[in-house]
Amino acid sequence: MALMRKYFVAGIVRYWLIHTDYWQTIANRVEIATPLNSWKRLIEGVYLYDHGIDPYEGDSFHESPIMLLFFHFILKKVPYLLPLIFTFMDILTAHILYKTSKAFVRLFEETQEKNKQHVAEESKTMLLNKSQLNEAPDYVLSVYLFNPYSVLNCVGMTSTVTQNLLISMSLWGAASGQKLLACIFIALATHQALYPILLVVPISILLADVNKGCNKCSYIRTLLAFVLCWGFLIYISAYIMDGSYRYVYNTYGFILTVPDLKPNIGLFWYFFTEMFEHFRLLFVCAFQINALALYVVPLTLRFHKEPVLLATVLIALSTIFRSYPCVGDVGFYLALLPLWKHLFTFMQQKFIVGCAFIITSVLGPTVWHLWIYSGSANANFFFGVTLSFATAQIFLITDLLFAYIKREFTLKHGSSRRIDDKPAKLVLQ
Amino acid sequence: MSKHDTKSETEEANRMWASASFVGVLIIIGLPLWWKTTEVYRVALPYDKINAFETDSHYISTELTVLANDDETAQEVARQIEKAFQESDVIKLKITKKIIPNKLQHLLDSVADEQEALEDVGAAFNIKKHNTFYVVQRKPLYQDVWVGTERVAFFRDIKACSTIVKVLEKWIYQPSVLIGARSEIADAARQVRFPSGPGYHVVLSVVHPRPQELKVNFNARDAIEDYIGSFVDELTELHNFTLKSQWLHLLDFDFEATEVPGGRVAGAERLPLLLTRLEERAATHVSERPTLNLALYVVPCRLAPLALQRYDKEIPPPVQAFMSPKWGGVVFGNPTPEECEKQVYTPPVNLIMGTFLSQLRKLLGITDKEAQAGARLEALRRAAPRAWERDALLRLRALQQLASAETSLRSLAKLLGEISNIVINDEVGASINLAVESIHRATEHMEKADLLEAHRYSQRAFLAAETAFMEPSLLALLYFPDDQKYAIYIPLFLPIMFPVVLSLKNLLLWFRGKPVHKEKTD
Amino acid sequence: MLKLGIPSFFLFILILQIKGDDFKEEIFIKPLPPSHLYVNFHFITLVNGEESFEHSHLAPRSLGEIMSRYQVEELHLTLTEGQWKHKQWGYPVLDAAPGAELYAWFSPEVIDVDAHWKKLSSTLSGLFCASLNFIENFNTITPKMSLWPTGAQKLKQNYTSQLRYASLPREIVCTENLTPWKKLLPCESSHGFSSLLNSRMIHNTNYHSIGVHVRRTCVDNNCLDTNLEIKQTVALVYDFKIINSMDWSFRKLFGQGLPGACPLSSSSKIYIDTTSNSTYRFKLSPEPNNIVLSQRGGSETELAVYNITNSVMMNIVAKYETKDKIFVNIPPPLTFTQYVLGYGKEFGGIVTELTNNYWAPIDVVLLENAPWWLPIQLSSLRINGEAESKLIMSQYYSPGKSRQKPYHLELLLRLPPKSTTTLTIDFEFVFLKWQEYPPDANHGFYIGSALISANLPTAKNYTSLPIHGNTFDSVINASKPWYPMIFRTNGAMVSLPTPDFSMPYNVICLACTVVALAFGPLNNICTKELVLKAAGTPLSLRQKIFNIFKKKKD
Repeated sequence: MALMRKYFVAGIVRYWLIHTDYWQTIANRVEIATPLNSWKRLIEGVYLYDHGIDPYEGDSFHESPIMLLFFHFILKKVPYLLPLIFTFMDILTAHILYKTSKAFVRLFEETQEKNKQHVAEESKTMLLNKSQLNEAPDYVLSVYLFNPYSVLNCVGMTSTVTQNLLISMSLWGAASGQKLLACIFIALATHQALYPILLVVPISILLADVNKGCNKCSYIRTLLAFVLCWGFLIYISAYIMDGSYRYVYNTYGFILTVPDLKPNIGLFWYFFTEMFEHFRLLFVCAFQINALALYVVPLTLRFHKEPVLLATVLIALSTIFRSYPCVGDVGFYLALLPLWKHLFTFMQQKFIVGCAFIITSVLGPTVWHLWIYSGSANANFFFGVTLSFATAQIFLITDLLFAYIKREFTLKHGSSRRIDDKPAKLVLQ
Repeated sequence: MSKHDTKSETEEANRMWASASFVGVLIIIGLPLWWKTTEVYRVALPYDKINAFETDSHYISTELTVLANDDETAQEVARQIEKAFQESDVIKLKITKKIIPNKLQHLLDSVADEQEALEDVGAAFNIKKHNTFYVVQRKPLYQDVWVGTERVAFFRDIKACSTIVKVLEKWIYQPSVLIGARSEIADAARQVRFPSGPGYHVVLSVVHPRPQELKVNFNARDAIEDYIGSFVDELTELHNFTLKSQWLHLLDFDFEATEVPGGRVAGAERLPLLLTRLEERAATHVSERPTLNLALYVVPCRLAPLALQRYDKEIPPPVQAFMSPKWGGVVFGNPTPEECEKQVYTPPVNLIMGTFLSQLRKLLGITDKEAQAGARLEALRRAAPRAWERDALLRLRALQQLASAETSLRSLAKLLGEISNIVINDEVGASINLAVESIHRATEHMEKADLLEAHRYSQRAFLAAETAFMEPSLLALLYFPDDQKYAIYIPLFLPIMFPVVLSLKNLLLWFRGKPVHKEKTD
Repeated sequence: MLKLGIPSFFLFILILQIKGDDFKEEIFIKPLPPSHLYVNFHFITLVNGEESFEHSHLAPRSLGEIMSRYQVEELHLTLTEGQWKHKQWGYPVLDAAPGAELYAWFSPEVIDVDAHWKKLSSTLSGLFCASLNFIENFNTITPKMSLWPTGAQKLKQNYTSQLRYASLPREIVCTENLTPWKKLLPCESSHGFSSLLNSRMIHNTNYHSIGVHVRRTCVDNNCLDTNLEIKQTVALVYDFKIINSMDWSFRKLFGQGLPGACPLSSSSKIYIDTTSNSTYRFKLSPEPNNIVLSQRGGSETELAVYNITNSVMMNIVAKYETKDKIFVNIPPPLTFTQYVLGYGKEFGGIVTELTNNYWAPIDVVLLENAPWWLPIQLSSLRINGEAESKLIMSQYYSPGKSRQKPYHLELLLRLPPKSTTTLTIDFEFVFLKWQEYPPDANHGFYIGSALISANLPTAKNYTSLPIHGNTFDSVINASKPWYPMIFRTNGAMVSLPTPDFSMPYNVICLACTVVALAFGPLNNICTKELVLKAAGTPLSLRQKIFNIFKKKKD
């Protein structure tokens, strides 16, 4: 009952905000709408497609042809249902996340039981009991439904709403052991935004864990299913565009080569505004490797026993380092954090990170207005705020990971910090 | 406990593999990526071949046939010629001696006119072949040596040897001019003639300062196409000519003419300024090729007749004209008083075009032949140049183009070798390679006396070298000071590479199987 | 000394100049009440038939060589400063966009039109000392409906694919452009009407535009042969306040009297429009040679014609009699204006207002040419507030691509009678790379003017030549069912948001630091293990130095 009330309230808030006068302002804000996901560009693309002009010929539309077809259908047949559709998708995402976190909690319990023998005596109190574990999904739901980032993301009617839905469906598919479901949805998410490809790794591990059996064959089967689904989607999109693969330059090519330098909450825009032409290619490659390839293998090797943490961290890292992030992505991984509330005691920078989030989120629009509308500030102000926001997110993630390994150590060796009755400290070496 | 050990071993293995993956991504992918994306694109050039060019050692071979009535004359003539041309390193003569067949000898001795004699020789030998020359003995000759328009020189007897040698040196082969073409310093002949090129525009400008006072009957187009056209048609192997004409009206010029009995004399210092005024209106900058300007200045009635200098005692020439090296020539058209009264002026086309033709010959490189004692150079009857003058031009241009191509390539190679930042793209590399190859082929053909082919290859080499030298993409110097490059790389790559490089040592130790001692605290 | 014999086969008929080119010069003066004066110079050279430009007589050889080398069929180039106020001044003879405007049709044999276009603009840039070399692919468009060739073209030809149009609104016109332009005239600037063109006087005007228009015209009605017509025009609008009196004369306008006709021109005429003599009476002296009454499309014009045949210095003076009358302006049938909406540097809109003052609908083609850094959104196109308006009869849109091509929108509209039609389209501001901003980045960026092509049903305030006419007298009694005209609206200027240009290294350092901030801890977590180490272990010097640089983690 409380659940239905939460859904209802969240739905009403979103629906009402879409119908206020502020909707246009919210949908146009740079933090919420990027060239990849903004509603304005979707309308433009659909309009061009409707009038027989190839939307990928110009520079305005960067969604996949499947989205183009989907929204073309909706805008032609039932345009008045759009706010309802977006609200419904967001609520559905929240519900799927709730069910997924329930499945994850069950996995925690099982792993905890399995590893009970390795836990030191004095740390047995740190183990999670059922009530603690069952609180987590409720918190996940509340955070996703009511945190301002996801609310604004939904109100802005950006396509990140669909992306969040697809990722949460794939996580649920992985958590409940349905390989095909997981692969289809992660392929759809990758087809739209490319960065969710990183999640193939934690999803394969999850599927292997849930479906007991030969691990290696499970990985290979998952990978194969993913590649086939993704290839099929690329082919379908080309079929929609009359057999031409030109859309690839406007979607994947756009994400990878970053030609549009519109400000957003990421690091790329000002860096490449001020970059020398000779070095541009090197740094684009460096940044994309940083976002896509650098951390996957090491984190997997370190956290392969905890695929849920791996998924959370990879989603967060791809949000911080991707070429066109938006607050919708931030809201999504923030919703996954309550799963790890047992780590909060070990985190040392909660206060700083929290304050930084609040301050930068408020300061961002202020300095943007000063720069663009008042003309009394300049681009450096907004850049500084963006940098601080990125730093705060980085601190959050690294703090989370440190808290995890500290808890792991404490569980194994107890909480005393003494060697031979001499004071000692925990160091990494 | 052992399970604990294996667990910690697997954990250690995981950590090492994680470290290895960082190394893999950063060093194995990162370093080549950095190299590839920030390199300056430079195509390999044949520096050694370019440095091996020896411009001063180029020479042209040519064939010379001595035809005499008897063996002794032939031997003596050939020996004298060989001795004279022995030191010349720019032209090498291949002398063949032949005895004139009896029938031809009879014809040569009986025929009165030199032209007919030429035809007879032409019937017997191939005098149309390029880069050949025939020295033929003919008894009934007034002078020692007679030279006409074909590649034949007649001499009387063995006593004319020295004259023959002088004729060959000063008129036919002109090794001094060839040496001047090969060297880097411009000699007198080179200062006059137009630089080498695949084609020229010849523009005939009729300058008419007072159209309201005088009407000029002159069809510029027909004049230039007929007179100049028939001249340049003979030179198609050398250059491509485009003939144009234009009228420049109302271009008034103050000559500061001084009165002399019989007319007026233009101030000598004012003449170069006339060229400036002509250049302003002649629109030569629009043409792609170098332009030879031939200007006919119709002198206004109040100034006519205008002369270029005082002729007190001598008879003034029928046409007043002057020439500017590397630009063209100006001819003054002076209307007579009767024509001024009737207000219609008809310029004498053949005189004027003849003057232009003589100026054109000099501008293209056909030098004036000074008179030699005992030798007679038959005057030109048609517009076309003489056959051996054509050969001389071919030799001259081939050497000049070759020398110029080599100089360009040498300086370009030096520049590109010293400054490592200049981009050398594919087209420049292809041009340079083509130029080097053409130079080699041209040298070969010159040594084999294959003049047409040698000229063709030398022109190709010259054009390719010029194209490579003038390529605008060479100017895009990627000038980036090194310290600024470091300022760009360091903020990202130093903090990232530092721990990765430090962990390489541990990685290597672990791969070899030794236990790893961690020394650093963190 | 060489002697030439008379070549026997050269038999020349020395032909007189009659077979050559024909040159005419004209001035058209029209007072624009209450306080302006429109002066228009035309210099027309007709080159005979199919002769190539290699042998030119009166026509400028440089222009001819350019046309034949790049196989150009028709060429129009204008360099303009100032804005023509259509509402107050009526219609000019030839309208021109502010700045430099160049469009040309290439011959059908040309395959690579873009390469020829680039070479043509670069060569013209050198010939006229104007910065036309800035014309590149990213500011060139191929209008599909707006521009049609005015010269004779062969039948069954695809004109539009051989057309290229570019406009550079930032260009300025000055003496540097006028001097090479004058060199193209046969009389240059020493004789004839072109000697009046003193750059010091003519650039001191509200509106000045110099142009070169080359096209082919038919010799006769069968059009089996064509002539090449080279027309050079100068359009000036004087403000009486600048010359400090309402009485004008050639001496006041040009600094000198007219030194007579050019000896090479076959006709030199001056036309003065005296239709407004009924309201603003003025007297011309000396007396004109004749007065011509012209009826054109329902409007009457009175022209005073001076036929200049000699080289006597003359000065035409106009003296106004009454000086204080109030003038009621009757606007011409079609007026328009364009402006930019919006505040701030994030979003904006372009508004074009077209007013049809006539009692019947007029069809116009509107060409909006937005540069690549001003992305317009077609879905936001509203005509009088509605999205899919019935006023649009045909539409062509080519979306632009960043740094590659501009945004090209053409609309065929039927403007309802006696109404104003408002077109709005939204755009977004683009953030450029720091090296793409011009040296004065805060000056702003110019948006070029829109082109409006109309077939006007009435000749009110219409002064253009009919399409087959070469000289101004073809205007007299030239009533036609339609009067075609291509208008240019005013341009606009927007201020793009600029980054801080002094910051490249700072930005690189800061952004890279943030990325490296993530790398360090993640690297440590993945490659190191947590152990308990006794505190107080003696640290070696090396470790002390390390500790200074590294963070301690506990």
